[in-house]
Amino acid sequence: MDMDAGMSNLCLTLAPALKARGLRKKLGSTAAVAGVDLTVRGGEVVGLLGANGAGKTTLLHLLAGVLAPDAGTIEIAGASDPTRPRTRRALGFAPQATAVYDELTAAENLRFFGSVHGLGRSALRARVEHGLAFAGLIDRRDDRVGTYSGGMKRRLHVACALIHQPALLLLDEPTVGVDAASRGHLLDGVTALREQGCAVIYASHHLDEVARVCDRVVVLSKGRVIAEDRLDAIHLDLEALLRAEGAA
Amino acid sequence: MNVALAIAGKDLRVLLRDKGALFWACVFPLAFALLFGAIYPHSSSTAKIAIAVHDEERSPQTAALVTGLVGMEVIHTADADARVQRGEAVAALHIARGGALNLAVDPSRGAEGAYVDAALTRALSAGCAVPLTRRNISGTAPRSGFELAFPAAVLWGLIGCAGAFAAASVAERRSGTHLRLRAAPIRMHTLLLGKLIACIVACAADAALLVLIARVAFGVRIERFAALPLAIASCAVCFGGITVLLGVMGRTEQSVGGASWATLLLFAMIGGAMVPLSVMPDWMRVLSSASPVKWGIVALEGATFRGLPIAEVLPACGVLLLFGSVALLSGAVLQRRTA
Repeated sequence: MDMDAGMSNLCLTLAPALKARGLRKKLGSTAAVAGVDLTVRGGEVVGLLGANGAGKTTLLHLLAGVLAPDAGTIEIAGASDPTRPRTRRALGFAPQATAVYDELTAAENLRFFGSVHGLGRSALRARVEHGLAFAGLIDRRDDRVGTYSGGMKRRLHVACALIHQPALLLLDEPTVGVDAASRGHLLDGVTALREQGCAVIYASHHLDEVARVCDRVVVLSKGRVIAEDRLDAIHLDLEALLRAEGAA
Repeated sequence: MNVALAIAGKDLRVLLRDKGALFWACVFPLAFALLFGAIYPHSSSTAKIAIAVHDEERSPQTAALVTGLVGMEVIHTADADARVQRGEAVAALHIARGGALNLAVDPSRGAEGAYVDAALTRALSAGCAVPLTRRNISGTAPRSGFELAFPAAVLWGLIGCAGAFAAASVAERRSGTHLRLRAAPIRMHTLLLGKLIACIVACAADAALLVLIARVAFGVRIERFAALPLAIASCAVCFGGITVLLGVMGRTEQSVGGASWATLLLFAMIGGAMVPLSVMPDWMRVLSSASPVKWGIVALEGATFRGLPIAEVLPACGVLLLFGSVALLSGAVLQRRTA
């Protein structure tokens, strides 16, 4: 089956891009995620807000299948269990740490992650070009990533998560340590993804970024969802909440 | 399989572009071989002078002769020449039916051979007068220090490769690429297979390159061409398996990096890559069997200057493959448990 066609179908499916119910995860004695329900539809960008330690990263790791939940279920584009390869093909994940190889070029990084996701040769060629354009790195495609600025690396990092056209994209604080120009480039990219029908979960503790790109926000505190709505409809002093928990 | 090959290709590309890794895999072993090849005498020396005795006569007189070899470690064996060939004895004494003596001496161990000669003369003068003829076992002793140093240098190269791959695993964890791969649609065993293929290819290429340099630039003999690929492949599989295990042993980059180098250096120390096996005390030679480095050196020496028959190289290759398989299986189990 042609991978491009397959992924496009996934994006157009009527099933929600993500349906998670009753997710729980304890890390040591701490309940990092304590009963989270979350549904995200195709073409929707959901902001995941919370201070450091609120459980954003743990929740994303559960959704990406790199952590097993203690309880709860996860469906991605209609497929259950994110540890199964079939389910993972519908998932793109950009973890918090920059996940690209410094010794490889941008094109080689994109080609490698595309191969790992099973893209065929012709689809891979097209997707690499698309990824380079997304990251704004066409001119630097054959330079080693080790010579890039922090912002360029972060853009490539997100492009690698998109190489296989996932139905659901998980972004864990994608703008950490980037300059204003790269931040704007990334946020424009997320907006474009929404228009293409891709569902995005955007974890951040920057209210301005969330306000700019997200249709809806989910606020986490101590592993629980304490609010879920459009940002302007949430009657919480989010800045104070983030400051207080961050300080704690 | 395509995904495993993609992972292997990526790992090899990363290795080739890492100057530090190339130093430890290629430059350091060469420097080691140059230095120690120049230092080693044209013979190996032993802590104890061993003589292999094949007594077909089995008379009281020949028993008295053997007992009279004062200061020698006597090894009673039917394949006395092979013991000399393997470097386990300085000389082979054949006592034929009728009492004729035939002494074969390793020509590269001249001083020890003279000592054997003297001990035998003393034993003969003590009352066992039989005719004695002398001969040399040729083509099996090292002609230069480089022939002794290069097998150990190859093992240093493999240690460098294993260390570099373990370091690459550390870098993957630090950068987040490992996390991204864990979220990719691949099974964990595919990831391990890719890393194993990369390490085996790198180790085999490194060993072949060093042996080629040894042959062309230093005149190191390759007496058994059929045994050499077998020895190199066994070493590569062994270190590939060990690398996979080291890469999954720790939870943090620090623990993986520290454990890798500590383990590999320990293997090198007790396995004869730092101090030649021939000068180790007996207890350490016994201990060295626990190190794959020893079996790698035995296999490579057998295929190069010692020219052992392939059947005698096979046991060392078997031990190497066993080490590699056990390490690989342990790595796979550990990875599964961690995941």
